[in-house]
Amino acid sequence: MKKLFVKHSLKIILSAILLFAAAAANAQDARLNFEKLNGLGERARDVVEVNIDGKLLDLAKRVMVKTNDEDAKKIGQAISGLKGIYVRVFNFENENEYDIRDVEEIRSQFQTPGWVKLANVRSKKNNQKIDVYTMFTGEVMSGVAVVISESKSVALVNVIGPIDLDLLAEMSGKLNIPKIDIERDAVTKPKN
Amino acid sequence: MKEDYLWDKTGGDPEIERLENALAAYRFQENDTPLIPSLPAKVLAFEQKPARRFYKLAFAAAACLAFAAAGSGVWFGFYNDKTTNRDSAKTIEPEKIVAPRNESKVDNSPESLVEKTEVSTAGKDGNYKQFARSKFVKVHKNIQPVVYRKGAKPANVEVEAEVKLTAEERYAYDQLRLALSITSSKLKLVKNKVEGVEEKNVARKGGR
Repeated sequence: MKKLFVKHSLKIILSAILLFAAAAANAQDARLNFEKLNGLGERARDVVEVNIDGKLLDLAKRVMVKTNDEDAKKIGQAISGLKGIYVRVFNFENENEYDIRDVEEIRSQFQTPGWVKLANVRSKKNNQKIDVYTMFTGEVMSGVAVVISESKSVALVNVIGPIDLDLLAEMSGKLNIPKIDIERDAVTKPKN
Repeated sequence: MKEDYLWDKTGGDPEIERLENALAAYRFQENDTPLIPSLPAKVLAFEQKPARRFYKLAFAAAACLAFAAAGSGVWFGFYNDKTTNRDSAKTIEPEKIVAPRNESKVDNSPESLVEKTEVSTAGKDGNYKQFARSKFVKVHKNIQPVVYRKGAKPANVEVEAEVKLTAEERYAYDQLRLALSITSSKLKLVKNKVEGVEEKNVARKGGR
């Protein structure tokens, strides 16, 4: 019995490693590549870029869960499994100032296996195109991506990990947007 | 040695008699005061030390002071713990932004704050750690206890208490709220669009 176990232990370990690697790879696949959007930033009037993952996200989740605000607590529980959230918003002064092909390249990433289309809206008004995709690992949601392109703006949201979409949509307007002191930040921003 | 001589001096014992004669000078006399024999030169004289009353008092005083110091230290430590616990409970609560009274004039949508957020978000290399370090704020303890009358609200109930979060916590929390607010607004937009399309379809079917 022992000999059998020893003989097959290497195979068992290898298969476990492969399974783990596959799971990790699946988790990573939910991350979109935003490199193509760098060109949009140069032409945009306003740019919002938010990257939260790792320890920063853990820290923020801890603060959110401990808060006295019931809405924030509810959201904190909803995002407890979140691994990362990446947001890009570009607003342009005039219409069609950006190359739509850059956005289409982002959309082409949804063709890779794993992504499932959740919603697709096309409107001639403002040339609006909305795509919502999710990725599942087994029965667990491993990522969500929202791409909204209009004639004067482009917005992309990439969430890694399980998240309650309905709750988040319901919370729209209830999450207090943090006040950001521009002058203070301009003074204290470290010089690179 | 004959024991009778030692008992009642009967008989004779030359050895004992010799010893008695040698020590005759020290024989007890009722009227004589006892003589303290002088010590031979080789033996050092014993100097009688004075009574240690002073040291006893000093040690007693020192012990009292030490006890008093220990007791006061424990008491102050206990008192400070009480006030610290009260303050640390506040440090966890995040700052709740008070909405302006006339909300109709203020556009709180994420896009309207895009201009403001441009400077404050992480740099293009995502170097938020340096940014947070430069903004670290020292937190001072508020030792004065807050006393409320029974049933009365504290004076600053209208103004949200300033939360003592570290700069890194504040930054992380703000960034997450910003990201979630943008995400929720986009999801809400999608939801409204989808529901709007569905309503149109229902209306069209009803019209036929």
